[in-house]
Amino acid sequence: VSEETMEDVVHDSVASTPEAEARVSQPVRVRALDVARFASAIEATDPQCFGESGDGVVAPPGFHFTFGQALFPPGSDYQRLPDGRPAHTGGDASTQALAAGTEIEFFEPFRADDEVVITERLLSVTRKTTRVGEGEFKTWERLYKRSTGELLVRELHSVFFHQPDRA
Amino acid sequence: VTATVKDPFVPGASIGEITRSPDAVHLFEFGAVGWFTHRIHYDLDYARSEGHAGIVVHGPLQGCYLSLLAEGWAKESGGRLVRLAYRHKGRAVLGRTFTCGGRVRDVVPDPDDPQFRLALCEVWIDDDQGVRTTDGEAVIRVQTQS
Repeated sequence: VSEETMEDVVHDSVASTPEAEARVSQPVRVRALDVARFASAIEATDPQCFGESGDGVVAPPGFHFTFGQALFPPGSDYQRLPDGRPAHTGGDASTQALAAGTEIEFFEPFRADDEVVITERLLSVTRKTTRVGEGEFKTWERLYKRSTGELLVRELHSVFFHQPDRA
Repeated sequence: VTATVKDPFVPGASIGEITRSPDAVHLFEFGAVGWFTHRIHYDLDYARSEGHAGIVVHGPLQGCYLSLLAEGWAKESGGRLVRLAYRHKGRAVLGRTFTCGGRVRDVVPDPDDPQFRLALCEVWIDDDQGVRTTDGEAVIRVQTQS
């Protein structure tokens, strides 16, 4: 998903999405190795990421991004678009996807050995016209909770799907 | 001896700066841990076919950079990052250096707990070509000084 300015928005129509879109993942255990790999990718240096602070392994903020696969694990119903995106992210082979915005609330950090359950709900679908063309602006809510119920992160994530101008 | 500690939570105060120059390996690592499979993040020809100037740096990776900036300052200041919102304004391309910065815009009481206050901070990422790739707001929660 690439990025684009969404300043020039014209509201054409708005459609809410039914609750039936909600998905719930299987519990996923946080591994110290995954925290270390994530920390390496974002160049985080906090000793907590590597269990060197005496307080266990604590993931840096943003670790929830590593659970993207948990809701749609590769398997029998997993499909990929020609541009590499998993089909479940929305749109189809004829559309381009532009990351429009993200809002994250941090309640507690992820820790190694946490067991996490992710719930995803499509909050809204809005038809809009921007300078890159006409398309659908979709916003999802994801909740990341321990399997014992504590909310760790709430994320709203918006993507603009549009027909590419290949002229 | 009484030391005077300057309150960092004042409008206009800088929350610091970090720079990142992600290379192809960083993007590979980030794509792998997050299952970001879109070709624009690793296939230069494909990225160009979508109109990008180069391999595109993941939006969530930029969000992580802003999180590191805000969380780092929050910890140094005795606070905690509680919210981050951002929008992508320009395309972030592999090979550039990204400078993440921010400043306190306002400080308000925490409506949920009078023992705490919230520092509302503007945050942004600029690349070394002068392109603002991302901007947004970080909210840092800190105990009210007695």
